[in-house]
Amino acid sequence: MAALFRTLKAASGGSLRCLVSAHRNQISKVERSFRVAAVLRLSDESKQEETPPHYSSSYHKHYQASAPEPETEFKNTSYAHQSGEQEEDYETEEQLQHKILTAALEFVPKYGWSVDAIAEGAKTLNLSGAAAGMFNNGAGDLILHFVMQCNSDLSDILSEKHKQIQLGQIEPLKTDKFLREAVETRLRMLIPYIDSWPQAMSILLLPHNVPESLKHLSTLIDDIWYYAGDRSTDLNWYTRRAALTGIYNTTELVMVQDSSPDFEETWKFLENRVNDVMNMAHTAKKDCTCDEFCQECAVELTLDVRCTEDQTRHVTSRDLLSNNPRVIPVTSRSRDNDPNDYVEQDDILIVKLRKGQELRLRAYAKKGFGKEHAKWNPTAGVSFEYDPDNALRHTVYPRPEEWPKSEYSEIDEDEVQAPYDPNGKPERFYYNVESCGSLRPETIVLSALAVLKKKLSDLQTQLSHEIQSDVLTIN
Amino acid sequence: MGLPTNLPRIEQFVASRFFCICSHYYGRGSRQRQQVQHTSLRAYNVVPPARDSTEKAMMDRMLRVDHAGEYGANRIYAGQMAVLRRTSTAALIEHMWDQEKQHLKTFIELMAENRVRPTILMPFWNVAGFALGAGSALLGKEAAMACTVAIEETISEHYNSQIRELMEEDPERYKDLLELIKTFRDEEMEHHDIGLEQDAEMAPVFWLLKNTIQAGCKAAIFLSERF
Repeated sequence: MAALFRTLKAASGGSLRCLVSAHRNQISKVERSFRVAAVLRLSDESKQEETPPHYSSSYHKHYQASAPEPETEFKNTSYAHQSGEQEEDYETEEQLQHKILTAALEFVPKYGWSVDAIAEGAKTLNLSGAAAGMFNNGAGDLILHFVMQCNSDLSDILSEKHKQIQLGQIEPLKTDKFLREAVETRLRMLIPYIDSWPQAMSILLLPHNVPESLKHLSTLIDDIWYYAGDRSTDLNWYTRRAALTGIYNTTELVMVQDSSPDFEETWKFLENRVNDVMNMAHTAKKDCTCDEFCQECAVELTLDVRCTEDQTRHVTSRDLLSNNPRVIPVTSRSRDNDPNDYVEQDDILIVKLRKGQELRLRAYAKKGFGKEHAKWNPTAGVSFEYDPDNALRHTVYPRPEEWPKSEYSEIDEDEVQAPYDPNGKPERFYYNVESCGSLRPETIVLSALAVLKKKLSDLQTQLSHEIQSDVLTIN
Repeated sequence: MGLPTNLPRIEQFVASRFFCICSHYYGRGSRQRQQVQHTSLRAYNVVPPARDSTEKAMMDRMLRVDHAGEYGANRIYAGQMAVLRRTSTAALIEHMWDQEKQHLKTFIELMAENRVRPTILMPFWNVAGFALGAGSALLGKEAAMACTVAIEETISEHYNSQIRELMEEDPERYKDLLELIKTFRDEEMEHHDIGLEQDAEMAPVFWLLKNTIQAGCKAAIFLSERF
């Protein structure tokens, strides 16, 4: 969380600086002539082929939409014909505005998010630059149009993928991977306009633009969650959307000041944020992130017994057959496998069957640990002792002779406690671990140490990452 | 309140339902759906896809408040059961509660299919409903029945006004949804009548109980429609 706030502060500082520089560039660009704009447009079109296929499908749509426009309609249109009922192939004002704004997007890299870009866009449709006066909100209209366009493109992509999943053509993704991919796809649509995006963001923050931009944002987040499979109808609906909104906004802020190749740092930041949220959710499931059980954390055991003789058939744990040879009922371990096994294992009786009775079942052995439920705790008892003869006088017996001697005692029979050793320090510790049978005591102790070691080492790694990788330092 | 889980495995019957614009369920949810009694009403989406944003807003509002209402009713019966579990009325309350559970299940499915935002006051209805149910039950079996009568009367009125609204809009278009709401309204009326039969009117200060609960109910409906 602290990292998140630092991110926000640093990112917003950076974006403000970008905004100021972009604004200065705009003023000088306004003087350029239409010819230069046309040249730029041609070069932009040639650049299309080089853009990576990941997002260019949606990006292409913008361009293809504007390219055939000038040839088709609007030969003798003017600002006066805005009602649009005169001719059959006339469009509504809304569609006209849509066309102009889409065309204007090409000029954004040059003119920034401004009325000039809209004017240039109108000119490409053979309208006069004054058509930009149609838009009361000026640059705000252009940005909101762009945002709406990107959101609907993302929605199309997601619904297409969803359809493919339903048809069984591709495998469904895990939630965290899905969220990362969806947010990345959406943010990549900003790449062509990334230099002027801070300006756009600040315009969207103006009070009269806030309601609509919030509406677009909420539609976007709702879409992403819907296709991720969220069908909740309780408070989860809100918490999930709030979390994803936070992730999306902070990643956007990181992106506008990311200078790494292909925005690697941004995607890494996104991955970390999504993992943070997932970790908050999966506090109960430590090792496995699946829903109920899967290959990673459960073993399937089957039992199929039919009694055909007159004699009673005892169904025991030996009849449970596992699909993983390493996970079998305790009693099924044969003696020679484990010479250290000193306990006599009788098969555990489950049920007795009469002639004609049958029992068929499928059971899942799930891996868990003691914190989740005591049934998974392999330890029955643990004892700890040091200084068996009280040489350090860490305890003072009122009548030492009453107290029985410890099994680790090293003094003679007749002595009650060892002589006082004022310079002594506790050095030798006696541990005793009693297992309840599922694991051997040695395994318990060694794997406990391994877990502790792993926790400490993970902590160390994360700490070093925190200190080192300050993704948001402004260079 | 855990956050995301994985997408479910592909159910075979999704292919058969592919013609309708239906959403995908959690594995557990779809198994539950197969056990729903109103199978005839669930063969396809009861609510027609919205034509424009005003219709969507109206549908959202109606489904949201109905879902909140059924959820609250569930919690009220749960509270009553918690107190009256060992008495003679337990069986009756259990029966009514089961029907409410069915209603809630239906509305949850409708909410999911139509991507409706649930009311943010859900946790509040959770607690308030249980408290109301338990509180009224502590005053006695008749008071619990009085609470039932009050709630069911308000809910039936509410369903009736929704039916009127839909009929005014377009009875043909909302035919299936109207049938569903009518069925639910009839079942709520049944609960109301059961409550009256069980000496609800003998409850202490019946008129006060009834009016307070109804006022609270109406406030809840108002709030759930908007928030």
